[in-house]
Amino acid sequence: MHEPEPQFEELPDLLVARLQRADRSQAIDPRTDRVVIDDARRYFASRPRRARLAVMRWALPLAAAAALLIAVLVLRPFGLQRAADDVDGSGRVDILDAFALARSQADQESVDALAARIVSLGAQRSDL
Amino acid sequence: MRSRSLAVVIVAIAALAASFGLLAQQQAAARFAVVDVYVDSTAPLAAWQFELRERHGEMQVVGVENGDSRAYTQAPYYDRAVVDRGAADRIIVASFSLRPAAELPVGRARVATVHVRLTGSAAPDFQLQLVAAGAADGRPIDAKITLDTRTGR
Repeated sequence: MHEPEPQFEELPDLLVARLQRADRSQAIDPRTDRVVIDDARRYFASRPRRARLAVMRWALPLAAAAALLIAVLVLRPFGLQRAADDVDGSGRVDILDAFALARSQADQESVDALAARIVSLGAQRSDL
Repeated sequence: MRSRSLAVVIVAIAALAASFGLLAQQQAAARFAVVDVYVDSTAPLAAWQFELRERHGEMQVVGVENGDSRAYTQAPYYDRAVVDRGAADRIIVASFSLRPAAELPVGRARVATVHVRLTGSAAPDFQLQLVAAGAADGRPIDAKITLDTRTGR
């Protein structure tokens, strides 16, 4: 037989009574357990589909954002390329930028590439 | 039946004759011209860029060649791919020289010659714009741009 711990013997009766009242644990019927578990399983069985729906809801905006980012990086529609080509910082890209690049001892290939963009008929339209 | 066949043949011959006439007219209207472009600057001209077009769009640029100045040894920059395709109804031409200011052209200098094919029957109305002109130190300078036309081949 298990002998009670010595310190429990020293606890006051009042405290022991309060502790006993506080201990409200009750034995659960196994059938109740099963019902609760079955309910929980039914509830969570529907979760993955909802989660998939949530993912689908976000998939389109995320794909659109990714496509926009790629388009910006590849096509540079907001003048990012032109800003990079503005070597002399004049606010416009013309042959003076290629000239400035050539004067800065840049390699001929870079200078020629910039000049080619400047005279390209597909890249810019004038206001003539 | 025979008269119907005869009518078809007559119409076909007339259409053929009309198309030959139209073709001959177009060939007669198409001609070549040479456009000499000059930049006039009081400061030594180290860089320049111009755009040339024809108001009615009846121009096809077929070639671009360098000007007179020995400071500009390289052929000017222009969109060769579009010119080679025969699709240049306007042209942007530019060049620069890294030579010292003393060797750069001052005053009126022919910077380029543009060879064009004109398709319209009316006299061409060229529009020429000086996009940029720069001094040897890279700063923009004021300059005037003009053109002279000659009859081509």
